Amino acid sequence: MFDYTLKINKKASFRFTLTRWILLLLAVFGIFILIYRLINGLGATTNLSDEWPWGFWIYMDLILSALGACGFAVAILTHIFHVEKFKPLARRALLMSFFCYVLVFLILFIEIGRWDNFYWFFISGAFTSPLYEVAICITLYIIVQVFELLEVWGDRYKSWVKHITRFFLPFFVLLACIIPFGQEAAYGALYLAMPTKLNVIWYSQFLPWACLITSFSGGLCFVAAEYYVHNRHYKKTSDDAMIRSLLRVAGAFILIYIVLKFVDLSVRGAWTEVFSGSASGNMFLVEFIVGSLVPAVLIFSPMIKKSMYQLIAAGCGILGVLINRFDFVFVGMADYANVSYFPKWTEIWIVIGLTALVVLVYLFAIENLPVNQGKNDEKPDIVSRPPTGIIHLSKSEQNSVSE
Amino acid sequence: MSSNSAVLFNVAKCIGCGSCTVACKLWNDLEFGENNAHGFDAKLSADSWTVVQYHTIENNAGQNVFRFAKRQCMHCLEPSCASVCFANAITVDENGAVVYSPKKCVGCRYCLIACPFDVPKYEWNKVFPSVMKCQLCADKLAEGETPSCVSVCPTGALIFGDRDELLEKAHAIIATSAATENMEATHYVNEVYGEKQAGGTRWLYISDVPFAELGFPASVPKKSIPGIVHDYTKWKPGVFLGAAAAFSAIGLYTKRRLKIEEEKASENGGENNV
Ligand code: SF4
Ligand code: SF4
Ligand code: SF4
Repeated sequence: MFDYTLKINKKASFRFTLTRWILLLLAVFGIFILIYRLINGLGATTNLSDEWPWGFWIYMDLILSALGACGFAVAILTHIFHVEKFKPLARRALLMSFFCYVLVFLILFIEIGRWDNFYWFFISGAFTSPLYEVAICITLYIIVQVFELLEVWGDRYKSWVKHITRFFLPFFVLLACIIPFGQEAAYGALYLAMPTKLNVIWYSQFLPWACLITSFSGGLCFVAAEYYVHNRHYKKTSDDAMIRSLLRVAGAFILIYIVLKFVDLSVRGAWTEVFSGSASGNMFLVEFIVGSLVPAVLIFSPMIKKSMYQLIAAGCGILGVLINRFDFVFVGMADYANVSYFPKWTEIWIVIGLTALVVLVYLFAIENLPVNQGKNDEKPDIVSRPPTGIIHLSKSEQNSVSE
Repeated sequence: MSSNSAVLFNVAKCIGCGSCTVACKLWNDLEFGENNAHGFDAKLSADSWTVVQYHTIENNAGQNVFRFAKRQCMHCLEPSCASVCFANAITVDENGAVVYSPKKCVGCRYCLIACPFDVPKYEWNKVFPSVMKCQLCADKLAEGETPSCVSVCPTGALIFGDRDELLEKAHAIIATSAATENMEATHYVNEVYGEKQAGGTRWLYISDVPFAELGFPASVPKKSIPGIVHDYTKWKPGVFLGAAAAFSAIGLYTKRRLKIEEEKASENGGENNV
């Protein structure tokens, strides 16, 4: 009874199911609170204070950006290293990454106190500020991604757009692979300005680079996890071997992180703090074991052949990033702040609403854009998979199926 | 006219009258709220750009004494708040005052969290809030006047002047006090707080009781925070250019290799890569 298909034109449509109606409801609710927040200010709608000027929203920005690294991590593999077997993932990762960053941008907009001055930062040129680096890189990256997505869109809907964008594509892809180095590392650099506040376990010149490395592994794990969830949802078969290779790459980054973090803690003599039994020490152990050691062991053991363990490894990789960011945004700063902070319901519900909205748009996009195919549709699909579900097929897809 | 402005605060001379806090509020048009700007629980807030905090401290002679610490923005030589500002809303003026301009501020609150002395405060309850902190009375300095709080101090605990001269003076006071044998005389701690902290600040403090007991953060690094952040930022252009060069080279190489492989595959009988 909840089934309703929205027809936009001959090629594009969107089918509403019960879950999607709920998502829509959440989105509408979230947007109402968002407007309430814009009208009433931060004091009325958040638990932020002079002791905790940054809270839940900044945390969301950090983790969404880290997961959004999926786009450029896969792009580097497929378009720089030309690993052909990952090509089927390229457009999907791009789309996921794009929506992560759109969400980051929306949250950044509600997070700042003077949204009426928002435009100022574009022209300020505050090059010494890591936050500026974050915002500028994200803005540029979103623009580049829009361009890349135009190519995907043109692929099905307007062939002249496709031809024009394809001509410039190599340049934009190169940009898309480089710009994110800016924001991913700068997120860590934000906290370099708090030498007296952030716990010694995380406070280090290594922090920005740690964020960069873990965003690679986290992003790749995100692609892997989404791949399984997605295929389950659309009842498609999965290519386990491809995901295994993808996780190997993620595993390599996790190993690099483990080694470097080990060196970092040793050089600065921070191990005593790790094993001191303090909240920070314990949380670091959780982060390190669950998010780094467990996935590393899983990925480089024979178990990884089974898709269930792949999913667990990917989940741990994602969790590792989530806990890591949580640790240096909250746990490592808590001793200094000396008062507690818990987000107000409005803070949380705005994020839930915006996320629901973005998920809906993502679902719409993935069902109406040719994202699940090889990059060059002049050539047949590299991995041709049975096209079931409600995905509309482009001509080339249909051809490759009938072959 | 530009100057190397600074203020020297002598803890031993302050009587905790709170005149400076009143003068500051009057000059800057701040509200007199319920929170005391001087007292044991006085804390910097959006309405109080300066407070005088009361402390009961045991001195060298083992007696419990009252000591008062006037707190406000330290006006760092290399201010963290200005360097991290999202929108260049905080700048250093020609007299060295670290000044905030609400017109440019986007309200990211990075300055609040990045100030090692926890100075900037936010107007949380306003719809369009501003960051609030002492401006070193920049408007008065521009006219060649002394800051409001300094001008009303009845005991001479606050002295306004040139930073280098004040530092000299501070060290001279410390040295004379160390030389005297008189147990009744004030004996200063051998440190000028603010001379080195966070790369040096324009508010300087001398005291006869340890600074940590007056609530001054002891762990503030000598290196300025912009300097610390720069240790990261300086690598960035290299990272971008390096990545661009490396990616272009790798991209061209792997693409070529792919082509050769494909050609080979088609020579070996065509479409077996489908
Ligand atoms: S004390 Fe804090 S607010 Fe004042 S100039 Fe230094 S960093 Fe900025
Ligand atoms: S809150 Fe305003 S003044 Fe402070 S760092 Fe952000 S933009 Fe700059
Ligand atoms: S210098 Fe001016 S703004 Fe700063 S505390 Fe004194 S009176 Fe207030």
